Amino acid sequence: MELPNEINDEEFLYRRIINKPNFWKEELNRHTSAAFKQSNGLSVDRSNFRPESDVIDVYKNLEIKAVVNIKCQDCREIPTNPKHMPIPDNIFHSEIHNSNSEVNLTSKQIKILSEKSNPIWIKSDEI
Amino acid sequence: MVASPPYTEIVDQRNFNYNFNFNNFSDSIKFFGDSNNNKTINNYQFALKDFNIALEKINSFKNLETNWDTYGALPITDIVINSSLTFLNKFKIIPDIFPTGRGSIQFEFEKSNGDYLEFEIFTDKINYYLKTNSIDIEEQLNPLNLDSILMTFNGTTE
Repeated sequence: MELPNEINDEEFLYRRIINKPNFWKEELNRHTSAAFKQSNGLSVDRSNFRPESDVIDVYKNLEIKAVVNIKCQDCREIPTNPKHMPIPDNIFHSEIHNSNSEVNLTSKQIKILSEKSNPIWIKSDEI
Repeated sequence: MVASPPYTEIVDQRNFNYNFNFNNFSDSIKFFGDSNNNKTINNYQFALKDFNIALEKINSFKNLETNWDTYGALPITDIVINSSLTFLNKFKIIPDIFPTGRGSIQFEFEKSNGDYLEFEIFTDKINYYLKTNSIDIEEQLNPLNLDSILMTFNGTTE
């Protein structure tokens, strides 16, 4: 199966939030932006318009606290640069980069990405 | 039995003015540290419960193994952990503390009105990001500016 190289604006990008160490801020009922910090690009999975339940099912077996998503259009408006970057065991793998020419995101970009992302599944408290 | 000093006095004992040029990161970290700190903390542990919990949390990051975040993150280095332990001395109000997938440790404060302040400790620098209604700045931390940054965010140097 080959996906379109360009991620559609209406596609959602998904990222899992682990539960150990704890990235969840209980008083705000959301994750810290630290959960979105990664060497090089920020790894996400593009939906390619799959049912959301299909995406969650892939993650559920992992030790995670939550699954969050963000619309690709929202990423581009920050601005950041979502790119489809499939890997051998995951054709949906994508990364969010700073721009066309720079990979590493700034803390400001990461904070905005974090704020614009929405929890769609929280462990033991499904939405 | 000698009465223990109030918490604020203990914290003030840790605020030394070092005359460093900050030509390198290790000098910066020395500025935040206090060589007598262990003795002070041991004498007045009951007054530093939150601080000790934060110390334990940072030390727990030593146990993070490769791929701890499920996205290939490497372990947090001893340099980052030790720098974070020292940097923690500077805060009267303990921040939320998290490891990151890019090898740093993040201290953060977030208010209900959206005001936000984070410090990110790397192996060779500390960056900060401050966002309020009127300020939006992200840059490398000059240790001499820490108090003014905290003042801007909190209204005090706490």
